[in-house]
Amino acid sequence: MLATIASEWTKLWSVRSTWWCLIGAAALMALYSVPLGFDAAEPNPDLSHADQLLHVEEVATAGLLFTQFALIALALLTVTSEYASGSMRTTLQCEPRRGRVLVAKLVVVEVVALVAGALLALLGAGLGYLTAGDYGVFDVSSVATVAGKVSVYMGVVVALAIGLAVGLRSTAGALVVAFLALFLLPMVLMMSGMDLMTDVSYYLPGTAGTEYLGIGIATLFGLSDGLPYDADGGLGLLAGWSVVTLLAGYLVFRRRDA
Amino acid sequence: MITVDHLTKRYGATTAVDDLTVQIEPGRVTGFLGPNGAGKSTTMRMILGLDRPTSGTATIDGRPYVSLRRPLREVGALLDARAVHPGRRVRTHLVAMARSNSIPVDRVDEVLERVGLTGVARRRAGNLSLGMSQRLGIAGVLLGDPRVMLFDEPVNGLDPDGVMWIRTLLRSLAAEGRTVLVSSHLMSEMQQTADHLVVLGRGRLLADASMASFVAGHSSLEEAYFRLTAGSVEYTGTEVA
Repeated sequence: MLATIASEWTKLWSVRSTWWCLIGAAALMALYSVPLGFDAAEPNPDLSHADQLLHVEEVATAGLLFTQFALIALALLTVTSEYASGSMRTTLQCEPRRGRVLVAKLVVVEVVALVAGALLALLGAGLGYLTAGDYGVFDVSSVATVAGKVSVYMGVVVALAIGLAVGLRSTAGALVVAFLALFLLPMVLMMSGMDLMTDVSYYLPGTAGTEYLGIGIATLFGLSDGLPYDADGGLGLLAGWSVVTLLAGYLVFRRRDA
Repeated sequence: MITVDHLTKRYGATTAVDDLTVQIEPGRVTGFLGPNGAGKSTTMRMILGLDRPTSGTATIDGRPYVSLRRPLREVGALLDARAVHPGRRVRTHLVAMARSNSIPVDRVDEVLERVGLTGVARRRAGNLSLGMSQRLGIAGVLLGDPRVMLFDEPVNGLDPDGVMWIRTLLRSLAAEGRTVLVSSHLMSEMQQTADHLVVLGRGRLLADASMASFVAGHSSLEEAYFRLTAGSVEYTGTEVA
């Protein structure tokens, strides 16, 4: 098992796409947090100073809404790039027990997601603080809490991504489904204004995950009152989605010809 | 030794491999012949546990591939030379394979030397010519020093020197007592390389014979092959007027 993990680790860091995804994630976070910081630094004279403070941990979580897709791409490329090139067959010649291949891929991606998630949160908060001038509030314990939450969130989300990747095998397919499930679909359903669709939207991974992060999509649409779970419940529901997707992906991976 | 026992693979209504029973013996080069679509590659994939048989079994020295621990040390296979991540460097590709089977990394440099790729070890696999990719694939086969080796069309894209080189390599690997199974469409090349032939047509076994007895009574392997497979060719073009 350790040998398979070592092999996956070598493979992960020996392709440029891994580095591009990480650079992309950092750049997206900067692109979000820097303008927000500068905006806060130019206050509205009609409002009080206290009302316009930028709590930088919120910058980090809000920025993650987009940034996460760079790390999701990194995760699913570990699987889909092997299907695209045909090298999945080489991987399975090295370790024919497919469950072990899946676990090894998951382990290396989890390490990256947990570390990169925390660093991204710190980056967003730091850049927000540096650009917000007198209006930036950098509370160490709040920022640390959020960095931990983002790390956990990314850890759960990349498991979902790996599940989609082994199930669908295509980079574009898996990325589109991830984007729909985590971002677009909850918003579209909430915008519909129909009760049934709103109820369905509560149970989607995007709604649950953002609730955990404290930037709930439901809150954005003024629907958080109807949400049948709290922040921790959101994490539980998101984790449930990840486990189910991963199991479904594993079944496909095990049954289908490589 | 590779043992294929009543192996069948169906994809919906089409039968790619049809109740194939054959043994590939060690110590000789076995040529694996047949028209396109005859089931050669599918059979190789089932031997390697990549494709699941509809029925029947394929085993290596009595064990299915999936049950092998550190399989690269027992079976080496070159299926598709282009099936390498194009962005990964030649040497790193082999290092990742070696790590997965706890093969010392020194062995990577040995096999690179053996296939003549030492000079391009740092090049990205996507920038290799087809001939160089074949050599990389062969390096992967040799990596674990396995006793059983499968090669699917290994001379594709190789220059005349490369063709000669692989002929010598395959013969020496078999002479060391290994099991060597090679598929090819190049009859004249096969005639000079193989000791034994297994011929498929439409997924069925058409012949399992020594080269000498297969060619006996014909002017060449090519002629003998055409006689045998005449009724089994699925994909034909039409003559140009």
